[in-house]
Amino acid sequence: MRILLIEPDLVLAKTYCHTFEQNHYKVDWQNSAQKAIITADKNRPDIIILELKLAGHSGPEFLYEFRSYADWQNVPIIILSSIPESEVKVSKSAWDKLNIKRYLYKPTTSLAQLLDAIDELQLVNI
Amino acid sequence: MAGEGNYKVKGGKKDSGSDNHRLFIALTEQLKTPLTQIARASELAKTEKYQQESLSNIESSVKAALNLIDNYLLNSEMKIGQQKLLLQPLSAQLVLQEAAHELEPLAQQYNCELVVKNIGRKCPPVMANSEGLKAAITSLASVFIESSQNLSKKKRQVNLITQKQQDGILAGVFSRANGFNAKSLADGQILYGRAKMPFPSVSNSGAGVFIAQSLLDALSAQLKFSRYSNLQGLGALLPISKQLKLKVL
Repeated sequence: MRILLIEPDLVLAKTYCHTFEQNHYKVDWQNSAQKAIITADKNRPDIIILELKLAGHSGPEFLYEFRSYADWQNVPIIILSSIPESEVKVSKSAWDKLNIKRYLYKPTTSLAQLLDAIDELQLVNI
Repeated sequence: MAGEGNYKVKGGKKDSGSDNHRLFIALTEQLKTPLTQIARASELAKTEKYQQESLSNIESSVKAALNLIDNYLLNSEMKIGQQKLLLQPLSAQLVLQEAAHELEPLAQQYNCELVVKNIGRKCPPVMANSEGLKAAITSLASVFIESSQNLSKKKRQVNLITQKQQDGILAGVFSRANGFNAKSLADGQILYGRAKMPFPSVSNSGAGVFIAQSLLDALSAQLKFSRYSNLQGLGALLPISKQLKLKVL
């Protein structure tokens, strides 16, 4: 199981990577949308975890770009963002079209909750 | 040469009510990062293997949050006249060294190396306030350190530079690959971050730049965008002290 983590903060990224590796996931970390697309193409992740607030191209730009490729329509994406879902001005239908599986608010989502969300997605995709 | 094509950062100049709200949004937005780091590192610290690293991360994140709060408070107290920043002759380079010392834990956490240096001729004393200038520099440097684009194990340099220019002394923070392009720095786009747009093109809220600009206004200094070699950065253009007029060799 391979995770692509797209997180701009180095300290948080290290913490998440440690946690995933401890739980036997392979993890690639990128801090920008552009690099993440290249990594996704190279390493074919099973799940993507995405912060919306990124330098350069934003999270939503990554989502639209990523989902525009035929091969990547069904790769599950979890949004893990410091922006609360209520403040993201994206309609429910737009999220559905982008096939977003979960929206987690980063400051209050524990590592255990994040792992649970990943496990749930794995079960769904079996 | 630093200062080549440097110009005053636009935006954030007006001291209106909405700017205060924007600063507050940027500040609270920025505080989420160290607080989230603390929460997650505390969880990870329960695992014996990462205890040491997690605990030192917690310590650095607490310091970063407190530093942000202190600089914001200094700025707010100054605005309401509760705190006055008296200008006196001082060495900008010594202030940069003190700022670097204060920033060391944050730099280590983000795998950065802080380098304090003077470019070109020796700098004469400037008219500034030591506490205010240090707060402005630590605010600016925090933004550059936290916006690290360094995925490799090699440490990235963040440079605290002084340079004598025609119209004063530039004391600033410079780096490469800092996550924001020259135009966004110069236009002051990172001053507001999410306070201005839902998805800004920078990951940092820019609260540090906003606080620095406000503090520098109070010191009769200007926040300037500048380039030096392959580095880009923001700095304070400080007036040279004319009190003693010592000849600098």
